[in-house]
Amino acid sequence: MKDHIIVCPFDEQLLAKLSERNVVIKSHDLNILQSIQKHLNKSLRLHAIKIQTDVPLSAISFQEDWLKLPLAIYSPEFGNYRDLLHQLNLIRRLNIRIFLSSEYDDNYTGLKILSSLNINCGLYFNNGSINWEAMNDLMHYAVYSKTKHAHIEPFDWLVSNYEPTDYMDYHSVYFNNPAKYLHVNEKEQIALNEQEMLNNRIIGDGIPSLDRIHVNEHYNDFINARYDIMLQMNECAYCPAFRICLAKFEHLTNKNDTCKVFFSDFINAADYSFKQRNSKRTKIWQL
Amino acid sequence: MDDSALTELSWDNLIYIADFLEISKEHKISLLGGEPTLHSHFVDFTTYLLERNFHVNVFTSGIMSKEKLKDLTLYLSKIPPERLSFTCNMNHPKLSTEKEIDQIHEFLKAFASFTTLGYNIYQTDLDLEFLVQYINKYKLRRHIRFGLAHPIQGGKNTYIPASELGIMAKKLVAYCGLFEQNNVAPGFDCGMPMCIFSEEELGKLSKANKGVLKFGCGPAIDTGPDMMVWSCFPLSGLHKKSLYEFNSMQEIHDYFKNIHNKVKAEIGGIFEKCVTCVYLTNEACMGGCIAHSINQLKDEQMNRIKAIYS
Repeated sequence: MKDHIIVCPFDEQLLAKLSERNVVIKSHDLNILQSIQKHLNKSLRLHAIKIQTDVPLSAISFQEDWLKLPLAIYSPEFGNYRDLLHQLNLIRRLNIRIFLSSEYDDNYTGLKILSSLNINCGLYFNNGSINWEAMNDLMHYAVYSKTKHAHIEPFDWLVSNYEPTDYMDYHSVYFNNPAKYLHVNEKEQIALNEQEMLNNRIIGDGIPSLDRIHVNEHYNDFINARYDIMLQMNECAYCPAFRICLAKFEHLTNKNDTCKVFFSDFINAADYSFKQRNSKRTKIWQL
Repeated sequence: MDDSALTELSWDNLIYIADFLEISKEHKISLLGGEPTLHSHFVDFTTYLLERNFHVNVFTSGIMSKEKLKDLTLYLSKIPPERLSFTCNMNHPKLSTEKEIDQIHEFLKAFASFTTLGYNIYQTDLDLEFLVQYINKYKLRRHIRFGLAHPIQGGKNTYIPASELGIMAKKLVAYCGLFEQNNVAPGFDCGMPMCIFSEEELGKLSKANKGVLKFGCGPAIDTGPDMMVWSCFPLSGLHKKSLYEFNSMQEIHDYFKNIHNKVKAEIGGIFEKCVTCVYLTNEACMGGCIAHSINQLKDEQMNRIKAIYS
């Protein structure tokens, strides 16, 4: 089975071996885009390029050359609106999603600015603190705002894919849901997600083993582990929003003022949107 | 984005307002103050609204530092003037310092094609020649926006009492010849009653304005940094509501229009004769500024309808 999308570094030898698979190339260096541009050919099935940069968004010099690349740019902070201004037209033409860190409060507003200017964007989480109120406000904007605006992730992804009876892993947005993405390094070692790769928790070796991932014990343990929490007597198991959070914030001590409030509102928004999508209104014939 | 929510409009609130206007199918927005160019994100907000395809009009004194003007010039002077405009509110040069006059001149030079002069009439003595001189010197838009100072409810300010508006009207019309010679159209902001002008004066004003003259008074919705909305500046102390209580501009307009109508039904206009005036009935004139009308009741017992007081 070649249904997983492979997340890997830009390594020509490795990419040659992955030619029959969809890949996400990840890097910390924006300059690599030039090299990838040259490498674009029919054998490379490029799903996306994820660049995690340390540069504020407004300091990134966006290039016309990037027009053909499917980009996910992860930047720690929005930066200065004025510096971004002259690049807005180009950014809107790019095939891009811009992600900003949840760590800085200004980024929540920055994402609203980007979305309202029709630039697809999203919030990514790192180890820093989260302003849950600002995130809830941003989610409400993403889901309920009646004005035309670009998607804000992970909210739009979850709301668009939401099934009321299913578990949803919004880590798909970050290429970190092992049910859909697997991470492979230059040594062809396989990990379940980025963090697992960083922690050197390797579950398989060699590209051919990707085809046998569904019988991989570690893979299945990891996939099933998310449901084990339901058997535990902890707060997450009782949380009404567990289905969309999957205990990603289990480590938080004060859930009642943080994740629980947010995810409860989020699941309500997803329910609302699902009902809107599936309402049995008469569809009038089209002219 | 370190906004001080109490004194300045924040980014989040600006986005909310822009969305609100978009939903309401309003494509124009005015930025006013105080002095809006003093806002720490003035250029950012203006360019953002332009990016959102709003036409932006800025009410300014034109008095700003060299650095601020440089900033404005760098980011705004290349915007097509049909998308961005300034209304530069002028005082007579005698009332300004030399430094202020220099700053205004620099502003008018930099944004000539964007700028209409505004003049707020608050006394019967009028000396308006300088406005025409400025328009010619800097090649500004050939229009002057005449506003009438109105009593601010709950505040103290200088304005012409209703009984003296006729004197002001005569002096204003005396400039019609100068305006005509220089192809300058004198337009009125709200609150000017029609009957302070004679038939002949109305004819002159009408010619100068291509046949369009307005003697209106209605909601001209303002929103504050705290997201409170009010009917217009003179009524900023009355019937304030939160923007969040409404779903569209039309709803806000209807809300304040309803209050206007109630007040008008009670007191007609600024003159006693307004009540029976045919032009009030057919809405060719709204009977002057409603704040003027309410102000005339300030010394009487508060036994009229609630809309007048709260």
